[in-house]
Amino acid sequence: MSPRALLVAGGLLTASCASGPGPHPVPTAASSAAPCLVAADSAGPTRAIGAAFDDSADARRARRAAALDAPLRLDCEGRPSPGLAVAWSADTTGQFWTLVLRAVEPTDTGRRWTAAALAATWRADPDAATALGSAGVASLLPLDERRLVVEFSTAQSGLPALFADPALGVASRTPRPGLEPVAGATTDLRDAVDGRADLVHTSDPDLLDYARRRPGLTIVPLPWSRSYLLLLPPRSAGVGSAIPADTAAFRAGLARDAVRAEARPAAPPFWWEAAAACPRPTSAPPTPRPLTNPGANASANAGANAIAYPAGDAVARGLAERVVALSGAPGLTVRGLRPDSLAPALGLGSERAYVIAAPRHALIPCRESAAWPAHATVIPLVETRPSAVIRRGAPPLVVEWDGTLRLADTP
Amino acid sequence: MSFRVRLFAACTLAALVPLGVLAFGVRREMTRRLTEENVRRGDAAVAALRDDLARESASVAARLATLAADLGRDNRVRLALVTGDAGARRTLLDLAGGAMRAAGLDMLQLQDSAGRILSSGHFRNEFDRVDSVLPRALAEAGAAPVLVRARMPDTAVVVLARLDSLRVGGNRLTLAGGTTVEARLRGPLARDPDLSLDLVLPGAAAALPDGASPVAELHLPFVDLAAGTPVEADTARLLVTRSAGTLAALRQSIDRWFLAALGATVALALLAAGWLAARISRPLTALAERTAAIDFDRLDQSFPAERDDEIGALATVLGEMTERLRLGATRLREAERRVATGDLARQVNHDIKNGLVPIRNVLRHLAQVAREHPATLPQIFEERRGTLESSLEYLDTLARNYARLSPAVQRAPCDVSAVVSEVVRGTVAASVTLRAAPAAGLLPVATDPLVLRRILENLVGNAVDSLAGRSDGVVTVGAEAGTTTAGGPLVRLTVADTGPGMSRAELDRAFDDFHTTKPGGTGLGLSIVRRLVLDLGGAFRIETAPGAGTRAIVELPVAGLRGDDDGRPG
Repeated sequence: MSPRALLVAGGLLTASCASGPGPHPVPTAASSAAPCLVAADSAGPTRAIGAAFDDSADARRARRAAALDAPLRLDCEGRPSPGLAVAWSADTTGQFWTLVLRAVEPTDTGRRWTAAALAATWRADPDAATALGSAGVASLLPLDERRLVVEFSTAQSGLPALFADPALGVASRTPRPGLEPVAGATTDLRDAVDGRADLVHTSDPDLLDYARRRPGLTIVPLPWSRSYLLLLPPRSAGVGSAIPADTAAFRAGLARDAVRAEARPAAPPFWWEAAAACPRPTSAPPTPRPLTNPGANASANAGANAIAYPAGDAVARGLAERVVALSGAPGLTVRGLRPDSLAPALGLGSERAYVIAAPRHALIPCRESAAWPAHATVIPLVETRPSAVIRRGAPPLVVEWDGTLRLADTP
Repeated sequence: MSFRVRLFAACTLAALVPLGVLAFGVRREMTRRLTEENVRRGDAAVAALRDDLARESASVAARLATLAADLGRDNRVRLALVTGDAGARRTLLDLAGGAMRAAGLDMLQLQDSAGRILSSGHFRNEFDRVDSVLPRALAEAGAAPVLVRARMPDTAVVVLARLDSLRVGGNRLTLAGGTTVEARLRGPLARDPDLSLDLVLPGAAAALPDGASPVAELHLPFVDLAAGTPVEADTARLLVTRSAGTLAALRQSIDRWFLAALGATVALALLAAGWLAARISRPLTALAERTAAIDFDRLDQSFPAERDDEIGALATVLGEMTERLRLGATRLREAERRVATGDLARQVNHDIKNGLVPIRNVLRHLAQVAREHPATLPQIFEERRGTLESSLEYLDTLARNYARLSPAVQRAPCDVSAVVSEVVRGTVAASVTLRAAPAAGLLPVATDPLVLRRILENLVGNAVDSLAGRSDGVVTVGAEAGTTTAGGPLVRLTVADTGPGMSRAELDRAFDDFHTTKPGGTGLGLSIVRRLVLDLGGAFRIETAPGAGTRAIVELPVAGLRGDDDGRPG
């Protein structure tokens, strides 16, 4: 055992022997998840249900939440509940956190999630390693088969949200019923509404209007889960007169008229403000960027004359169009970029501005904003939320911290 | 500049000038005709465009009229305008998009009486922008087609727009719509590779490709909504341009053929110049060289009149002139000979008189003694006998001396073959092979055998001397029948050796008196031969070249023909 491991082990022993509440209270499992429970009028037994999503990212998150377990879960109100870990505690410094895993039982694949196996898996998985690094994890130390010590480089004031990050999820010990995609419902979700799916996850007002006219369905608005932002790279020529002084009215107008989804003006707190101190790759120092004087500071990307948005995101396109319409900048257009083009364009800041969607809540802000242009000016625009169309008789669902739906655990 | 170069230049110019004029004319005529054709096609294309735009404008107007009627009856529009309900407003914002697509339009804009955009089909989120320019411009244009550069979220397109209006709840609304004209503008010219159409917006210069030129124009009202700020209506130009590609290709093709013709012409000019030089320049040069070689002692140059053209005539004239010179020279020598004979007669007379005077004096003295003193006569005779004898000896000596002088040429028919054989037999040359090859049946020539013998001995001696130091030398003495330039018979004697030959300069000097290359030579051999031959009324020339031996040719008129008329060899 290395000297560093011995030091960590010693600290943990000290913490375990300490009596009484320390500076960091140890949370326990949530006693009630009722506020985050989504259920139709007559909740049925837990079973796999057919689900259709109008956003592939939402579908991926739902599948991942059903298939993988992070150390713990956070519901829509941020309350933790056991996941892969049944208990967690911190030492007096707040730097060393001990996760107590579930009883060691082999998974379907025969793998046993011991503390050492979990640590090795996290180290080997790029997403998990990135999450650990972004959250400031200095080391992982398995104490025995069930106890894993996580050392942070700085003291954590509360339960680290890292432990609920999907990137740390691993295959569940036992298979659980999940959300099964409905075949053939991707082109016209009205088909799913008309009987193929127990759950339709959508932001389309036309689809919701259709669902309201159909019997046996319950429409449940889900939490505000997505923020739309206008990113201005440091050397951007700005967006002319698109951003008025009265940003509240501007945002309200956008939410009301510019997008065809349930939207509201973006309101603080904004997690990306905490990401300003995140370490970024070395780049040129930011220069002042005018919002109201197009061309006054045209330089590196002066030739760029488009506001880029993720192709396929109708809300982002509507917002980008509205900014273009209000800007008055000659020749300014919108440009939809596919993910493989948008990511490098964002990193380089090669476009005049970007309208992108970001999660409304971020467990690891530095990781979420890592792909944005360095030193970009972030202007929050609107927040949106989807709705769930649930067929009566479907089992209850739980909304997690990021708006992801999953089947509620059987009591 | 030589005659040959001048010939080449003349031939080339004679071919190039008309060829260049032809090429220039073809290019110019082709350009003119192609331009006229393109102008006609451009005018036809503009007319077709005008008709097409008018039809499309009427179609757009009809669709807008239908839309206006439908929207006027649409409760959602009325609710949005009358109640200001948020849901109705959102419906209104989305209304133009669906209507635009349903009507097959590419642009649709619903505006209130103040110009505020209530709903836009081509740019949904452009609502609330105030634009009074477009409705006013479209209203002023009436049924005429108007081009509008409409701003879309991700681009700008030019549409052919029309205007309609409707009244909803006391509000007068305008409905501006149109279809894109890009493909429609290209239509009439789509299959014409030479013509292209460009839309030149107000204030912009036509960006024509290299070499392209406009052939027709169509002016249309134009409204630019993509400039950022509303711009008053202006005029756009639809410019039909002619591509320079076809014309350039034709010109290149002509140029290639012209260059090919130029190459062929130059080659033919070279051949023609060479042929003409062979026909004209070289014979003239030969005549000039032969003429330059003529002097008083070298009048044996021949000018063969083998051609029936001007050069042949010139050769004949030169030959006749040389003949006249030769005749004159012969006469001059005869006159000189006669003068010399007169002088000799006077000298002989004088000398004989000088010899007879003492004899006459002695005889007169002896006669006086016999008459006056007969007894002393024997004594006196003895005393004067010496005088008589010396005078007689003087006269005898004088007679012998005059007898040694060369007698005049006595021409008589002479057997050339016999003289040739005699000379060859009499020549002693140990290391040289001497051959006599006289032809059989030769006519006798009018000459003095002694003179002929002197001529041949000189020529054979020169030939043998030129082979000194060689053991394989051959000297051939031949005789054959020939004809003069006038067709008369002659006998041609040749003395050929296999010696080193002579250069042109050496040959020129060989005829000079006292020029010799042989140790102990007098330098008079060839000069004497030439004079002897000329005295016989014949011709003498030498054909030689370095390394090719030397061939001396003597042509003598046959007997019975006078040497001073047409019987002289050419």
